[in-house]
Amino acid sequence: MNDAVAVRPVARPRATSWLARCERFWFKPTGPGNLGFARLVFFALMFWFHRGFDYTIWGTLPPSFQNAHIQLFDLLGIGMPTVKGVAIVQTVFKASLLLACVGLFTRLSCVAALVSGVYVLGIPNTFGKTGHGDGILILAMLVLAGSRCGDAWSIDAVRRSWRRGPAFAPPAHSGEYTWPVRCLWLLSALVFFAAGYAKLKSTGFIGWAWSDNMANTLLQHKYKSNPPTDWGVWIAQHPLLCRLLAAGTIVVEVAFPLALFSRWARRTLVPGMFLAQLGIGLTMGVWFTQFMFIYLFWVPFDAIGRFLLRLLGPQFQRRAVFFDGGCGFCRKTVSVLWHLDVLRRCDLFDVVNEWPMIASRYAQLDRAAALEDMHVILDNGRVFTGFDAYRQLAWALPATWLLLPILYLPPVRWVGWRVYRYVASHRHDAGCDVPAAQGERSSARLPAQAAVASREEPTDAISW
Amino acid sequence: MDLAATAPAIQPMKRWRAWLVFALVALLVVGHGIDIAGQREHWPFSHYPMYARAEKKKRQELLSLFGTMRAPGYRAMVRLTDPNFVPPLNEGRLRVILMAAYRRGTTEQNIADARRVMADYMRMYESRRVAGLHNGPRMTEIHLYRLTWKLRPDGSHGSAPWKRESLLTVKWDDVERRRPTTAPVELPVQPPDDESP
Repeated sequence: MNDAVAVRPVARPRATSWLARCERFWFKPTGPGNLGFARLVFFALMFWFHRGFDYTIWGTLPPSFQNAHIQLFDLLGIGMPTVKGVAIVQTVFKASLLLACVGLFTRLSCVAALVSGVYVLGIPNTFGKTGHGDGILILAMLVLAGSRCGDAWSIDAVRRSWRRGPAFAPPAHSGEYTWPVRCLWLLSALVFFAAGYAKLKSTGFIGWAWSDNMANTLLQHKYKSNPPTDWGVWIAQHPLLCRLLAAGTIVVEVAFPLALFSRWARRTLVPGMFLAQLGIGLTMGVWFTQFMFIYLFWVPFDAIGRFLLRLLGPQFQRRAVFFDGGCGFCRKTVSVLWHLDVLRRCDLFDVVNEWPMIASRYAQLDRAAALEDMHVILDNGRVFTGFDAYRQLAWALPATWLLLPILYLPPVRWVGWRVYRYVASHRHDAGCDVPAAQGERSSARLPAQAAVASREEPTDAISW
Repeated sequence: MDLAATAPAIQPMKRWRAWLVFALVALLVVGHGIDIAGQREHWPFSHYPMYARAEKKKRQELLSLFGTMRAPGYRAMVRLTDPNFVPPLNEGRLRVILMAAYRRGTTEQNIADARRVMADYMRMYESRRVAGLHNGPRMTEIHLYRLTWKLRPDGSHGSAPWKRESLLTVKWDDVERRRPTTAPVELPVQPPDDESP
């Protein structure tokens, strides 16, 4: 009896346990990749969706059409839009979306997209009816504007790598990359719960689900929304199916907040709601496009990335990259390369500091030559230098895949080699030597470099 | 360099950032909570009442604008659905503007608001037509109708309403006689120039 008492774990005070759970939910340390990639796709979709809309057209309408009120606009004193005003703000809005997508000045871009978006997306909602799709986007941008979503998959991150030089450590994990995703989960949960609750409050479960409501709604949209399929009419002819679909809709909507806490619920309710909204588009011709953007944040991009890494990684040969570790410019370049190497197919070797190990593994490599030009050696032993080495690296870096066809144009190679040679020969003029504080690397490099003879542009024999 | 072996560092949240996050969470929850509890709308928050009201009637009622169109040798009443007539007002957007103005048409204010919308629509239609921005014929009258369809199980007869109920009519001459209700649009407002029977 006494033994049993002795082995029982000490119960933690309930309050502490709740606090710990709360903290774990909001601030569990994760890497920046998931949030960064979701940001990239979210703003890409936002830009794609809004790129064709000319919001200035709302400024040409007479005030009598502006008969829906937005309290926020009343509070801010925003009245009838003018063509010129909307033109300026929509330019800022679209530019901000693009910058936030590529991750350039990400925090500022997100804030600018939020502020200009409130105006640009709010205006159409003052004409006739206040819609719901744009509101959710504004709130999503509010969350992203306060987050560190630009720490990965962004030009800012590459710029930081360039400035900082080769840390060569995985980015720190932090709760900063967790809470924005959780906030957007919460936003989804509030939205769908509200939709379910409105049905229950307005009509009740039986009245809404176990009646002709769904059949009537589907048929009505045949008359007014021109749906892309006749599935709605077909479903309307099957009363039991209509009722089951209606009941399922309410259940999924009201139960959606469970997806915040339960993995099982996440795997069923989120796809269920997504399919329901897709079904509404196909059967009724009403598309919840903006809502679809928020589903992005439920996608575990990091897990998908790891899966793709396992799948695609072996398809690409590993590339051993040899760089002059005593040259600041080379170190910064390699640090950017390391950042872009999301498939982890590049092994980086500092010729200055790791030569004994390099010499034992790559006997064909000449130290002086490796200090003069960047070298890349493939798994199959083929050696590439200079511009051709960079071109080889482009195969392993997804961010540069789009450039590959251009890099293989004959004039581009010719120009590329000249640019490479110019930069390589002037890199020391730009004060690229690693400062003395960083150790013996500079001094170790110099004699070897002095011995290096200038190399001519390589022949096609060693190109791809 | 064995990069894979390096474990990522953990960067703890700063306390003030955590409080800021909780403030943002509170804003989202309270903002939605107020709208959900009150079933009201404070954009960008909402209670998301999409399709919340049950459709018990086996019919579809829509407010719709029609124009009496005239051209030499041509007179017709045409349902105004083309968004090019007055962009960006497609049929759906025009309908909600009319619904917000007319509501049930029970008060003088509702009727006056709806007439103003119709007059402004006709004025913009004509000014854009005169400027060659759309190919519609000259409009001499604009009518607000309530169209009713009886829902058929197979969704047939979508184009022919069961009932057309004329609610309001505004004539071009009345529009021109009155002082404009709107700020001048950027296109020249001119009376129809082509005479027709």
